[in-house]
Amino acid sequence: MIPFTTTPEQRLKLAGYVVEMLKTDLDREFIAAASELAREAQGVYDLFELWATMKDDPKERDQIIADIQDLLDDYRDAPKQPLEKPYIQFDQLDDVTQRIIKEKLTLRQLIEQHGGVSAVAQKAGIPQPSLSRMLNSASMPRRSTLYKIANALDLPETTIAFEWTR
Amino acid sequence: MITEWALDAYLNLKHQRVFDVKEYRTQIRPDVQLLRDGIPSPHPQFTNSKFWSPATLNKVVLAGGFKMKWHNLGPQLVQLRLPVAIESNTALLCEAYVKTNQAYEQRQLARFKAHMFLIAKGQVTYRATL
Repeated sequence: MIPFTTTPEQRLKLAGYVVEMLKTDLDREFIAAASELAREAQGVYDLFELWATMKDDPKERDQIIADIQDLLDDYRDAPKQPLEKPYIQFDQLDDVTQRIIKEKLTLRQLIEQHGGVSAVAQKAGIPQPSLSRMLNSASMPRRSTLYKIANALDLPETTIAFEWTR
Repeated sequence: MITEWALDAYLNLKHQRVFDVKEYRTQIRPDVQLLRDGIPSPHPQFTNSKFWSPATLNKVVLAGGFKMKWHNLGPQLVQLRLPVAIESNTALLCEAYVKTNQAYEQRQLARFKAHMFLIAKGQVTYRATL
């Protein structure tokens, strides 16, 4: 068995966490996809368990949802076999982050023009904490996320094109 | 190997000015390069649990998972953590984060565990070798 596979007992517990999650306003498709992944990957199951223990901490729960969405994207985009991409020199990291931040600022302005982060997240089918994290971080955005935003806002690809994406 | 997940984490740490060029060149990079010599490491630093320890989540050790640690690093005196997966004698840098509280560290280690699952299946993207 691959290490860190969710155990049968954990799968049973997961059902209870899913019932709790269904009581929130989280998108049903997100919950379905996340629970399917948690049935396989124990690290995702652990995040469900953490989420369940954080009843009184909505901010922490939001961060856990953003983590789960990150992992859903990681698993969806994972290569079938080890893949080497070109390296970035340490001295270039500052320049790369500055360009990413600048482009995210432009994207944020577009999002504000279309009703703000919550409204756009809902339209695009992205959990709101996940979209907020993406906009506020210096991480390379995923092309799939940019496409979701473009489609939701009916924007051409040229408008949401980033120099650095994953 | 530096995974794409680690690169993404570095970008955020750089943006947050967690460390500068000097700290990277004199502390972080030389320490990380010691991983080239394999695990168990011949270097004495690796016997110091304040520098190197097994990664644990909910008091359970993550097999093949370790943490490299720096204390009071940079101008903000942060606790920098670098989870490292050892797969077929190769060290893979998976995440990098500033330990701010227990809940945050638990989330980071859950992510690490989920990434180790992908590594075990060979489904990893890497950006550079050490």
